Amino acid sequence: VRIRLTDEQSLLQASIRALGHKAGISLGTGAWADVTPDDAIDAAAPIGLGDILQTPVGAPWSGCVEAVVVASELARQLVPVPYLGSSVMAAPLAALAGSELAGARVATASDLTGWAASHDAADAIAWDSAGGTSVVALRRDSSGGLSLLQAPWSSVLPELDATDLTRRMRLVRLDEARPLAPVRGEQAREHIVRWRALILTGVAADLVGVMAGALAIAAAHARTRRQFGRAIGSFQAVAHPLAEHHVSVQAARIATYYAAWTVEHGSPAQALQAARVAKAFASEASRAATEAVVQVHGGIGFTWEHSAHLFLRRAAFDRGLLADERVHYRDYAAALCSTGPGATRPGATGPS
Amino acid sequence: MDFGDSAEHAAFRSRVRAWIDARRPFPATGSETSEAQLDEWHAALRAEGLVGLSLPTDVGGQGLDIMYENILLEELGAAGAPPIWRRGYLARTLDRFGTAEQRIRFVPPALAGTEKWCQGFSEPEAGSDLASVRTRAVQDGAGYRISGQKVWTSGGHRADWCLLLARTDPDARKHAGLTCFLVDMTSTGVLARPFRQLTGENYFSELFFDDVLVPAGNILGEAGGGWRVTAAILSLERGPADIGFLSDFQSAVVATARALASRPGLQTPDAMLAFGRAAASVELLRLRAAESLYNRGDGDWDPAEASVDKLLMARADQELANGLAEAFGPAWLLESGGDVTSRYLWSRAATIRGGTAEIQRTIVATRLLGLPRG
Repeated sequence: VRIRLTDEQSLLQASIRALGHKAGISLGTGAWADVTPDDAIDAAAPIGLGDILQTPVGAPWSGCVEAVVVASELARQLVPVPYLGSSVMAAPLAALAGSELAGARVATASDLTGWAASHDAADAIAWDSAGGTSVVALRRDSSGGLSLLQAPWSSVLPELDATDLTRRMRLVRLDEARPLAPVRGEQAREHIVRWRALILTGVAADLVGVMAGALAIAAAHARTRRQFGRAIGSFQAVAHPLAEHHVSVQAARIATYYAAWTVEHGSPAQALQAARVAKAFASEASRAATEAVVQVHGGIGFTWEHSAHLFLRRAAFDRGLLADERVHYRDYAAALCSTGPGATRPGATGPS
Repeated sequence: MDFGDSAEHAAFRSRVRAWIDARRPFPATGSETSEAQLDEWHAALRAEGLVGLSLPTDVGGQGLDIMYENILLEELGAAGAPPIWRRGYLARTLDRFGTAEQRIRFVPPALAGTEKWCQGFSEPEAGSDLASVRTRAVQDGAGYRISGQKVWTSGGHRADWCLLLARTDPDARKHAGLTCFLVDMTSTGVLARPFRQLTGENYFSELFFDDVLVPAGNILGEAGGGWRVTAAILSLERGPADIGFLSDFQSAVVATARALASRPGLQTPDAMLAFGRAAASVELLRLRAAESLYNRGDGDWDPAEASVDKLLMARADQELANGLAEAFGPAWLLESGGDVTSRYLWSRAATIRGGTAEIQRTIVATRLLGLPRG
């Protein structure tokens, strides 16, 4: 047991932090820069982000905690590398297709949220799709089974003007998609459950970064902005909400690490339960935290030029992505009631 | 980042799990399981060598690393068993600050439960501003004479000993003139009077000290060093691990899952949302407690982090109480003595006792977020 980042994990975190100084949209001061995904992808290339997470089919996964470290740290500074979209969401799906998608920069397009259903023109949304050259999608067929599809980039519709201004979203048509592999057999099904846990955890990690990044800017503002002759952070009406949101960040952070660790070391059912806790709580808490960050800034926080709205928008988007806390709290409760808490109790996994 | 057990931890976990499973059915648990039931449970844990896991063996502990405590809590909670005894943090304080004689004299019977302890901190005029305590201790020959009043003392009327905070130097700075004493509750001049809380129970006491003579050998820590001891006690009390709440919350989650499973009609979307949120808040607390214990065991722990623990514990307590009330519907309102009612009423203390939530937020804001003091 070691409930703390390893030196290697801390080093990775530091290298992403350094990347953020070069390629982050958030400058950490309230100001922000118009960094494009292409700029960020180029700047991140030396780190080799794509190799950190390994999700072979039918073999143990590795790098899940590291992926969470990367996702949180990228989000904290709003670095527009499509890490979640391509490495966390698409790559483990593409792994199910064997070597067929090797080398492609894949974007996931799964109707993960039901959002696409509200668009007549599209079947799915390629979320965080910057830099993609090919689309991998998961679809439930008429018989209720899942199949994996690949769609050419030509079936990707123009970029959406989405709420989140820091990532690229596109609608996708799947009528030209070709089937890659049906998701059949215990191994593939288990792979998909783990993947679901992983992507929920990935979005939760993104939210942890969003909350932490936004709160750090708000705390700095509260230390320096003066009214009535004193720093506004000395007023409890300002300080206490920030303290409560700091508590939320700490809780969400440890829940996200636990979920990532469980994706690797737990059963698929345990992983899903841990991921639901992380995603549900991070969704709920990040909305409150980013709203408070706008409030603490007062008028300046309501301007386009301040980064507060970028965090607010991204938190709102992530909260809805893969369903919000209402769904995940209910699913968590339903699983507790159907299997009993014993099935997902701690320590049931192998020793470290 | 590794949440897994080492081989030794895993072996201990299996042993504890088997031992707990053999004790079913458990005595009924509630938010405030009766003291007698807890005493009995404590004695059973003690007989199995599960008390004082991370305290040194020379005072009756087991000399294990602190993560063993975490495993015990997790297993009690996951099984729905009664929680550990709530005053463990006082034994830890006696071990940490006691002289060689005091440790050997006081810690073993405290762990055994043969001597019960209470904590004499709050006063009618010293609540959040604890360092303004007015209880006076005046040197008199080889001892001190103590006079004053304490309040909100958990189990004070059942205690054999009191860890008391008193002012020894009225001229010193507020925090510097304080000293901690170990006071025999059978001393002449001590009166403990239980009073009734909003739940209807008499759990807390007020204590009156009228010229009570305490030998100088019963100072804990140094004369004038009482605030240091107090701060350490508060940071232990604020962590969910040392006071048994964590496994109590987990047991409530287990019991609720069982109740909802046996009556599918209760599993409405509203009930499941309320229960899911409550259960998740307890799970967050479990993870945070494990992290804090790990860091504490490693010596790399800022006591201000205990305020994060405390705020999270208060959230879990209140989310749980509110969640159960919602999940089971309004029937609880017809049962003043029922578990949901009791848990709901008791949960209001979560943001008051052991330092109010407002005090914790100020600590987090100033010491962890670097905000200026008001």
